Amino acid sequence: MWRERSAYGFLAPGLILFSIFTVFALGFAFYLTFREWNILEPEKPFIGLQNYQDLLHDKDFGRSIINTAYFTGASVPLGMIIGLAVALLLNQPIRGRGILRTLYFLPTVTPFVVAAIIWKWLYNGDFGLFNFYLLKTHLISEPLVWLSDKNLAMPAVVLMSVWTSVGFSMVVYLAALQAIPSDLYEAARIDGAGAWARLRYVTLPQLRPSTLFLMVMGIIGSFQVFTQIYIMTSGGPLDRTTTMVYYIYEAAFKFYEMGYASTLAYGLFVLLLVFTVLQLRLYRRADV
Amino acid sequence: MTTVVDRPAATAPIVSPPPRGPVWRRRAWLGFCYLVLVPGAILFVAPFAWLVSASFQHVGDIFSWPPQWIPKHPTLDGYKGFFGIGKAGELAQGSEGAWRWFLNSAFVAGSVTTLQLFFNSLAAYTFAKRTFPGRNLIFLVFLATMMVPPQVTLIPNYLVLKHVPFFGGNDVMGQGGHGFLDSYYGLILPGAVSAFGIFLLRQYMMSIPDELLDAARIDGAGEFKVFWKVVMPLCGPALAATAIFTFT
Amino acid sequence: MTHRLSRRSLATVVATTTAALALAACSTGGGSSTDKGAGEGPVPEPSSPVTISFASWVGAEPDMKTLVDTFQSAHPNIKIEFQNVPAEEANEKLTAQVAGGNPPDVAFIDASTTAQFAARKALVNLDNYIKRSDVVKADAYVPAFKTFVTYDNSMYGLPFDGESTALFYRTDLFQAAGITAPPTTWPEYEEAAKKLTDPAKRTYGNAMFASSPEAAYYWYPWLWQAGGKLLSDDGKQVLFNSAEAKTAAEFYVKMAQYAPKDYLNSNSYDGRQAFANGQVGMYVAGSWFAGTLGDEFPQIDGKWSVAPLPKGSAGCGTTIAGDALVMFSQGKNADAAWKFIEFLSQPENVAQWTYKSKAGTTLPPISSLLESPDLVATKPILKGFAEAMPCGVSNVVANPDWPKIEEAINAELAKAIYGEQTAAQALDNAAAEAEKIIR
Repeated sequence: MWRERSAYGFLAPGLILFSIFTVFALGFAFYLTFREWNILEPEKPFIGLQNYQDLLHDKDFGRSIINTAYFTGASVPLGMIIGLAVALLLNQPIRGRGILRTLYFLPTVTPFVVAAIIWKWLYNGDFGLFNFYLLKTHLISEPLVWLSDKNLAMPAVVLMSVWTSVGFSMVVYLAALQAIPSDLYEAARIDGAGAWARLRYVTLPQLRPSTLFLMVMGIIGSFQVFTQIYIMTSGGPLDRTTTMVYYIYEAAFKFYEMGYASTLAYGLFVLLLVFTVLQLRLYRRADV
Repeated sequence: MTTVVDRPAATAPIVSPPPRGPVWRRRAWLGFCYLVLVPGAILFVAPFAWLVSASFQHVGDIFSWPPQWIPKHPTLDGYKGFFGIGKAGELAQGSEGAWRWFLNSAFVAGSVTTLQLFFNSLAAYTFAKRTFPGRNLIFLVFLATMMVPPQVTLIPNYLVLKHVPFFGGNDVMGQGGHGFLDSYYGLILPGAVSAFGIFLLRQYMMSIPDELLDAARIDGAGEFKVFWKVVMPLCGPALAATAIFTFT
Repeated sequence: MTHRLSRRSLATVVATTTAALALAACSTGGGSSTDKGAGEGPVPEPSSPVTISFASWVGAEPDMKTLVDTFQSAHPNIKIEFQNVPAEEANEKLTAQVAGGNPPDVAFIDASTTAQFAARKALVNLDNYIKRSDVVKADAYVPAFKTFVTYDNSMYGLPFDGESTALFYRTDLFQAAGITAPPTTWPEYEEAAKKLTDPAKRTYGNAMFASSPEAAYYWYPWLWQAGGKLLSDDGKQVLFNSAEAKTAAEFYVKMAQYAPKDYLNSNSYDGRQAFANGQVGMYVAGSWFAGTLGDEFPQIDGKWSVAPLPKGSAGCGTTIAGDALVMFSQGKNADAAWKFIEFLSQPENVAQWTYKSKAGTTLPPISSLLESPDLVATKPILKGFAEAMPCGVSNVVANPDWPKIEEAINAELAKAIYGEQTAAQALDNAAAEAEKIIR
């Protein structure tokens, strides 16, 4: 009994800070979903479920969900797989591991805004490094206009995002790899498992908590993708990269419809909550 | 508790046992590792190197063809702007250099990181290694707070900070003053716990064998001591990762 | 003087939303804005020391510092406290400050946003004060600028500086392409654009954006020159899909073939960089851009010049913009705030701030100053801009729904620029959307 109570004690500081700073703000945003508010005026007239009805008929929001799903579906698995591969290789007894690890990690600690600005240069159609090397190696014959091309803009944003996220997955996986007890490998080897079998039956299962973490965080993060879009494409061309949060941002700070923006945000919230609960469930069933 | 000491920290050498078998096979495998890792690292660093190169170039020179890795007309204007020196500094920030913002940010980030390491691991340990009613629900609530985009909570947050009772001239109802606004508290306290950090540490702590903790409990250690003396030392790599992600 | 189509500089683009977090706030609410300044005779001087906060992005400019120093020595009881915000964040920051109940007393804002703040009751109606003033005369302002700050037949701001747009062109590129004079008509413009365009050499005739707000913004001058209008004067009727407007849009969209494709989804900041780097030969911009070019790109001094925009079938047409001084209704020291903006608005101070300023290249919004020979004598480069002023049209529509309508124009024109529909279809679609919004 005492031990249970101490568990709540351990949680108390976090819970208190969260309730003050986060939960209250969330509650206020929820209250706004039933209101119309242009931020500037103190009045926030009650409009019932109007915002929710608008949301259901908002085709642009629907398209932003598709764009977001495209972004998430491409960037999260890519970032995780490359991160895992790099982590596995870096966990080998090779020289210069420290340097290599730092190099892979640099993009992750580069401020996001700065990274987006550099990549915008790299993608420049007339002067960018990408076109320079692609033309030089004759992989393309005409310069590509990456961020201004209807079909290339989203892949370009995905590529940039993967660049920034690989370091993160790599570090998380490396930390987890280093925590796998070596006797597990010994035991597997005694059982006659080859390198592949050890990876498949020892390493990967041991990494499952990290995989779950990266997936849940990756989905939450990329469903809220904003900075890259804001700086590199502003949602264009022709709304091809307008993601959910960019759309919400426009509703709030371009059209000053704070009530509707909050409603959209709660739409996003519900989507993410369902996704996360599903993932946690699936993993629990698989006994992690 | 000798196992504790034996556990590798973030910078400790390889855990993965060296491959066995004939020497040529081992060499081939390591060669393959380099063959993948080195070109990959170059690709990863190239944009960053370009940033460094660009920081020494005039805006006009950045747009030249072919691109120049070594600046043809190197300039320190960007850095002068940062430190508020001379005309470039004035153009960039008025009279004050950006370095002041930089110092402020560093102070705030440092405080936030320290507080987070402690509070996050405390909560993470509880979620990972304790059983109590409502555990999963509370954990989900923590996670859920990450799911509403900050663009929307910005203004509510602002109002919350303004109405913190007893601070900045506020009364018990949080009225009358400016609360936490314009103070370091307002920047530091809201960031003192993060669902992200708790989640990261929880996942890591789950891989610590329960037997270690039970052994410590049998030795008579209280819960806090188990957490502080057994779990924390085992979390080196994860704590380092959390610290880096929090600071940046 | 860097604003309007926000000059999104690399450093300041940093998530504007986070900037709003660092603001201060007080109690919410605020009284009616019409009763401030009621009374007769001169506005009284404060009897005890007061501090007036002044939000702008020009607080570090030497001219502004001098003006404020002069004011403070003449009014020892009033202290001016600068709140400096980058131009591109000013609007959002003020918005958040009003929401938080702690706006500055006085702000220097993009004049076109005045109506937007006034409509939301955030600003002091200045009519009472203007009536009592010997210095500020409502009739002294150039009508187009007065329109900016007028809402519901009352003035909510004092125009402080202004500008018209003109054609910046690279004399070096013109020479290389064998063009002897800047274009004065649409066909000449097209011909020049064609001659300047050579993708192999990475040079183009002009810049074109299919993004928001650029797609619509750069179309407007063509619209004025063709004799088109955006909405009827009562704001109830959509006029931007008229035959004249369609002619303008078709010509405008056609010019996309002479623009670097890479910037179609970019913004005007990149466009101006492209002009400075010799990537585009012609660029439409306000007079402030002349100052920026001189400051930031001294290496192209003597390689560029300015000409009036080419004339269309309805003659000349240029988009005008400006900045204004406003007072926020939640401020506590309205009288002292008025003293300050009244001082800044004295004609000699307006002249000092605009054309007499060392690096400044803006125009005074006061008719007598604009027409004075002193202006051209002081800043020859402003001649063309000042002359263009009579055909200046504001692209600002004082209608709370306008941002959404403009967004529709942007989106539809963008599709036309990307070749998904004709320019005429774009305008019809945008008009249909606009009619839905206005109803």
